[in-house]
Amino acid sequence: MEDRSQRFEALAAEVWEPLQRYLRRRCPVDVAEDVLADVLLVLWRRLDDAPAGAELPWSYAVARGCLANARRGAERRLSLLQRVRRERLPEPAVPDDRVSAALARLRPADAEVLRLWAWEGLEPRDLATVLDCSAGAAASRLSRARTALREQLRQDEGSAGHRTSREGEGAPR
Amino acid sequence: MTDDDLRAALTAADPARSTDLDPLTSPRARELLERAMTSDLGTTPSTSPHVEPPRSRRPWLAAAAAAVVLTGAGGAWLAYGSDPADQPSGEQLVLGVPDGDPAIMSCLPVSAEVLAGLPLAFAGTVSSVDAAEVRLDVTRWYRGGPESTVVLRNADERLQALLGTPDFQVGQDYLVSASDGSISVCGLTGPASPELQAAYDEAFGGG
Repeated sequence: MEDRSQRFEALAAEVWEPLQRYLRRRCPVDVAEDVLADVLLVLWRRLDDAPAGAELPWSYAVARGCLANARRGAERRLSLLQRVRRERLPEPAVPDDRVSAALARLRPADAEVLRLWAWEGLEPRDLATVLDCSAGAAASRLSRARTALREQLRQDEGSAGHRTSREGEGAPR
Repeated sequence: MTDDDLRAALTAADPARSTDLDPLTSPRARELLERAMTSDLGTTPSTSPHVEPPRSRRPWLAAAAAAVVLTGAGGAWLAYGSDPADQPSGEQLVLGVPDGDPAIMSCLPVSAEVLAGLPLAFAGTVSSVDAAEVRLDVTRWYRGGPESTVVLRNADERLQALLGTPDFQVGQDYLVSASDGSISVCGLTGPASPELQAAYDEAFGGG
């Protein structure tokens, strides 16, 4: 058990900050705190499954699963009225409106692969670990997602070019 | 816009770019780590995902089997009985219906992202429905498997009460996902409509 604790501490030293960021990027702070506790429990219990050399992407995969479970739990706690309204969980605030707005319009799977690539800094081999697919499939999903984002940004530029704004009206839209 | 430009633009939109984080030496970090290390290694928290290690499907089998073996251990999600006949063989997997009060349940839109977080998913055709059991012949495992038959237990009045859970009909094709030994509801399990099929393909297709 001593050895296990040491191995867990070593894993925690590597993944603690990246996991906090991962969760802060995807859910409100209070939810992130709860999910982080769950992730640590799973990491402790599944320590022997951690793939050598890919501990961080594997931990992201665990966090991804915990977050999905937390979302489902949140769904269950919401009221029937909210069920009818089919509200989404709030998106975290992001500082760059143009890019984040374009990201939000992508298919969720495309947006997530881009977040993992840009925010978590994962390349296809590690993306594959998180997304549970082959490295080739991850590369092709990333390529497709980049193309989709470029297209969104291009459309935005096109519509911004046609939009007129007059002084005194405030921000467009 | 090059890939580097795109990545830089995304990085600028990172909501956690300048977030202050608790260091590993903080009291909160120590508390969470200690709590994990003193937890029971023999049980799985209800929020625990069965995350598959890269490129290996076998551990899912173990996870599914473990969930069934844990029947009767008090887990709210383990909705099936403890009859030895419930144990999965190489050909049959038993799933339950999740606990939960339908009156306070709620759902998000079905998405590939939510589906992708689930440890078990398959396409199947309903072969029989009786008072408390639905049997499906598996036509394709997206994740988990390789049992050829899945039995859904406790599929009686509670199934009807769980809003969003489909009414199973013999001969119809369904897309079924599950976690913690229970099928997912809220539209994540349902008749194989083009929309749901597209979501499953996106979530589990691997490309």
